[in-house]
Amino acid sequence: MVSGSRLLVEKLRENGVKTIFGVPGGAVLPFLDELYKAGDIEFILARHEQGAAHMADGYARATGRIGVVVATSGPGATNLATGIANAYLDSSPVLSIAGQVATPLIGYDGFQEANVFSMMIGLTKMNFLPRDLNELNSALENAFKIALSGRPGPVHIDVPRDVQLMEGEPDDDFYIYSYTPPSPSDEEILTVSKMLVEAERPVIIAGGGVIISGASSELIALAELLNAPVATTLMGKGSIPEDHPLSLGMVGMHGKLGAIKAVQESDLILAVGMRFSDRTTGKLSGFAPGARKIHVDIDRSEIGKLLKPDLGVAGDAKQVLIRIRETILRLFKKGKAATWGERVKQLKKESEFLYDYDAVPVDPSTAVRVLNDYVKAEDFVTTEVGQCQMYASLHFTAKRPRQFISSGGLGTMGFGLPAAIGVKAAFPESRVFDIAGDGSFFMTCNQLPVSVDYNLPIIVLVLNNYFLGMVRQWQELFYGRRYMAVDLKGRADIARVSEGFGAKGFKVTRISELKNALETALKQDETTVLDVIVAREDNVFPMVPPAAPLDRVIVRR
Amino acid sequence: MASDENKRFVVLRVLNMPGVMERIASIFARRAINIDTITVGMVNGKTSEISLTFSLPQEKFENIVKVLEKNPCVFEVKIGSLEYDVIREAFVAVLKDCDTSVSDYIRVRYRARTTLLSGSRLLVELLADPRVVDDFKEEFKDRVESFSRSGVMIHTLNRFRK
Ligand SMILES: Cc1ncc(C[n+]2csc(CCOP(=O)(O)OP(=O)(O)O)c2C)c(N)n1
Ligand SMILES: [Mg+2]
Repeated sequence: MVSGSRLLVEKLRENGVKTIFGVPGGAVLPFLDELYKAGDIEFILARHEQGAAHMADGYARATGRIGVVVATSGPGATNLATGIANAYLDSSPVLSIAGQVATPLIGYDGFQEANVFSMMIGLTKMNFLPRDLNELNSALENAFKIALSGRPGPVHIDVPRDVQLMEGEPDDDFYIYSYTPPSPSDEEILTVSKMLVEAERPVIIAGGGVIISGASSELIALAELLNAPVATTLMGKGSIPEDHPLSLGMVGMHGKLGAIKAVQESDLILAVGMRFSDRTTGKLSGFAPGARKIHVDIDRSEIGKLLKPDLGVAGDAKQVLIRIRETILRLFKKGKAATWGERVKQLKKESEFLYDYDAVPVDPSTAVRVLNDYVKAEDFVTTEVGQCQMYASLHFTAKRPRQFISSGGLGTMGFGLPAAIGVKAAFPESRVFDIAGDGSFFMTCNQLPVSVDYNLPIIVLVLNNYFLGMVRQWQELFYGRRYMAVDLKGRADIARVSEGFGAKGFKVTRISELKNALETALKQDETTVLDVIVAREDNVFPMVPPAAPLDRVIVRR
Repeated sequence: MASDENKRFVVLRVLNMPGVMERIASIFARRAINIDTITVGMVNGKTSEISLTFSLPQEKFENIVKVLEKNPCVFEVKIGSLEYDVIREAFVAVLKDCDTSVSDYIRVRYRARTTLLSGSRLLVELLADPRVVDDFKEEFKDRVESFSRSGVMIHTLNRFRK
């Protein structure tokens, strides 16, 4: 005999879950009681469910394992929405479990009932509303598989209160989700290999799929064999160490100039595990106009969704990259190295930045550049959203996959701080930095006490321009500098707010102070917020205007 | 009006579970695709079959098929065509001003089942290709008093497929 709650705990254990994030409530009390009795799963109590979901998401992105979030019914579950949608768009394996009113009350406006099932349909890879023990057993059995297989994604389960309390022996006669990753034919691999060897100016674009697939070393090996430079999407950042000679950095709306130009000049694009987002390609018809395009993705429905490739290859990034390299080595001996090494070097040089270490207020790009020196290979950097995110992506040098964790698809302000807490929970020995903006900071700074309470110290670097800076930048560049609803005034003192939450807070007005503050923070190993006052109206460049082709990149800085 | 070449006939084998219809419907809704007809039948306790018709240009159609295929509650997606597969719709109508000669004509021409009702009314029950249903409605548009149509059911004949 087992209760629904007991079954939940057992399945979490079976799947190696040691930490869950969440906020409790009436509809999950039986489950919480079972967690109490079990005693071996840590419950990190968040201050808001959105943040709890970001924590689980950060945990999942840093580890590649499932991140678990728990909320109560109604407002608890609806508060999850942003966090779950965020995980969905970036293919992050999150399992979210919410309570629900007892089955007889579902649909009859029971206290704290919301139609969470319908809400979650569009935000998850799959969701379940089990009405008895068998269905709960089936949902749990399938949830882990679905979340982690192929292209990962969040799975949500609403567990009615009475189902948590039901006792019985669930049967195992249920639907089991089965998944076999697509695998391209030898012929397809041969065609790709030929196209790559024949290309004069190939560029590889690596997306988040390369990181999820664990294909980083295979990516580097192929790039080196072909002497082909690698650009990444935001999600692919770190798939190749960014100090590698063949790394071009990010391509896209705020990509590095060298990456943008290399893509535009290339005659062959090998796109791996990416989805041709408008933020990456600019206007699609003007994207790498002289290049043939090969698109490799594990999700068949991504191939041809936006860009019609010359060749689409459905398969797992790692397997496909290994097979391409082997085929090239077998059939073409060495694989004629691309001829444009010199040009690529020159493009990389052109995209180097000039940093200003003396500017007051601080130059935000320089602040990120300085942070770089303190981030070791085993450390992590999360980001918020806005200019701060783009400064981070341009000036932080990622050394390995999963090191850089950012909200790509949904662009969720407030993601970075709770995500950093989730990362820290997974890697207590690593240091975790959140590169933030003031606007984003205020979206989820209420989670700072979680970092303090659970001794999960993170360092938040707020690039404080007293503006919703990215929106202001668009208003400046495209709306005649008519600033509307973007001024944050700066009366709230971020350092003092942070102190009030139990963290350490420092106000920083010049680069020399930033270095001191970082060193102090790292020595003290306590949750620390550095309020770095940066140039108010600095703009992020390069920038490709929205809906324009990449060639229209503005480089002024 | 969408052209005929864009008319799509799709059969989904899906998990028989509450909420699956909403999940499928939301895939169409979010892309602003109008579902013209939808019918559902149970295959067994665990599986149902949904027949859908809608209009969509080829490129978008190829994508939505892949999106449907990857959905965890969809086991199989079959694509039907008017030429090769059995595509049928049930149609029931009451016609006015009818006599036995009209009734006989309809029985022979449309292979329908007919029943004369009081007041020269005729009940017509037809199972046919949806285009034939349209033809019937057009031919008798002045006499049709009321009608119902079931939406399209698609039976794919696998032997014609590779
Ligand atoms: C939750 C959410 N609301 C609104 C937006 C729209 N938005 C994008 S960037 C931005 C400004 C971000 O301000 P801040 O965090 O201060 O970063 P900055 O751009 O100033 O560096 C806004 C409001 C968003 N991305 N996410
Ligand atoms: Mg700001």
